[in-house]
Amino acid sequence: MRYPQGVENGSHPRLKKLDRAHTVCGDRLVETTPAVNREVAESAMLLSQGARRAIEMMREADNGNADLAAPAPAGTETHPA
Amino acid sequence: MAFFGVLLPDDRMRQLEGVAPEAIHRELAAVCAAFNRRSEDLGASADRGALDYTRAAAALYSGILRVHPFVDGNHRVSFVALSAALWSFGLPNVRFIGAEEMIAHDDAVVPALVSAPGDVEPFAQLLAKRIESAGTGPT
Repeated sequence: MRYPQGVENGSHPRLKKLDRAHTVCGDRLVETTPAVNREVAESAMLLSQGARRAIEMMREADNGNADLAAPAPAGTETHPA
Repeated sequence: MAFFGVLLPDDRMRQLEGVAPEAIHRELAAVCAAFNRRSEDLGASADRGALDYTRAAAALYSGILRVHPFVDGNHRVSFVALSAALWSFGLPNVRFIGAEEMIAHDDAVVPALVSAPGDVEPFAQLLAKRIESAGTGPT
């Protein structure tokens, strides 16, 4: 890909100047950091499953974390699968 | 789906079902060339809004998804291309996270993938709306 004519170093004169790469997170504009890029990459991975399936996966992951956090009931034995 | 032939090491020809690698390369090149043409046109025009730029970025994003050139990772590659396209216009990238944003993304991208010409307008509008609501639209 090439920068279009009139755009130098990623800034177009008609747009507000952004000296550094930014990302829209929710309704806020944040400077793009490795952590932000990681979030974007993770969301892309989830979205590749389709949004609805991705939401299911997030809920399953949240439930899994909750299960891990909760102590096992007294007298419960665990066996490896 | 089409049939195409590959030459085996012993010089025999084997017929495979699917999209020929040459066709994938050709279609992907066409998507990138279209983006470059639109970029040149946008650069030459003086009065443009965020939507004009997001139309070009959305077409690149959905074009890669439609061609689907890789066995795995097509969506991730498309997101990298989308980020690069938006940044090349001096616009911010857009993150889609959480149920509401993800569903909005899918609802907007699907028309670009299922219709024959690829209707990128809903996704372009979603990108422009997100960018402008974050206060980064054209001055």
